[in-house]
Amino acid sequence: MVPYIVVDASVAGAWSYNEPYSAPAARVLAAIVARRVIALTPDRFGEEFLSICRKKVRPPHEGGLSLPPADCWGRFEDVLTTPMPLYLVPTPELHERAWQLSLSMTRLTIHDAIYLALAERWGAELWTLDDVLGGPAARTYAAVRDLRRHDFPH
Amino acid sequence: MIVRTNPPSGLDEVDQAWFDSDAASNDEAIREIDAEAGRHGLVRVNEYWLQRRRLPDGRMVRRGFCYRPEPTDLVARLDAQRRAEPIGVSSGELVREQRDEGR
Repeated sequence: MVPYIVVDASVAGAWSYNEPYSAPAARVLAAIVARRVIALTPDRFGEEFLSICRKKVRPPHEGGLSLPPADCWGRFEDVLTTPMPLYLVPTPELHERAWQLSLSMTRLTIHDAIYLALAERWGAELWTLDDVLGGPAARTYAAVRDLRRHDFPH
Repeated sequence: MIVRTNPPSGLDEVDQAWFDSDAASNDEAIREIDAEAGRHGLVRVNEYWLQRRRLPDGRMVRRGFCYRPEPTDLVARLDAQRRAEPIGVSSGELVREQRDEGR
């Protein structure tokens, strides 16, 4: 049985742009493309990934890379249109559990809790490069995996 | 359980097929269909709510449409693009900015 994983937008950013953890993030993408895993993500992933792409257009002193907008848009489209098992799950399905989770932990925003609720619902590992999801959230759901500390095994 | 496929056989050779599951929930049907489709090298289309259909024998099923993905060089293409640029800020930090705005 091919395992399900939940992929945080931060991982997609790192597989798309040169970042400190691009190498492990690229291994996640390779596993999805090769269908060794089935990736799930909340439908807000699209907006979060698009926002990362937008930030890469900014100059370096604003946290970007001064990349041409067409280049960044191209990478966004490339990831979201390539035929591979990357499924966007409607967030309304996750609202109630995300609400409960967000109240259980002070640093957890609704955005974070949506990812956590999705992983919990599918019994899936949640792969992230985010400090909150990889930190405090990991105490409420044992299958959270911070790509900076865990090798991707698939 | 997968109760019907179209086509009924030769799934390793086709470029598209559908699978009917009689699982009690949408999520469970997705799991069954993904597993069976994967055995034949097929991938379900990006549709979360599977269509419900009543079979001629009266059973209610959920139907997943699947396709055979063509090979992609996405991983290599992104790798080449990354190699041509300096190391930037982690997307972990970038999404955190965004998520904290929503607190």
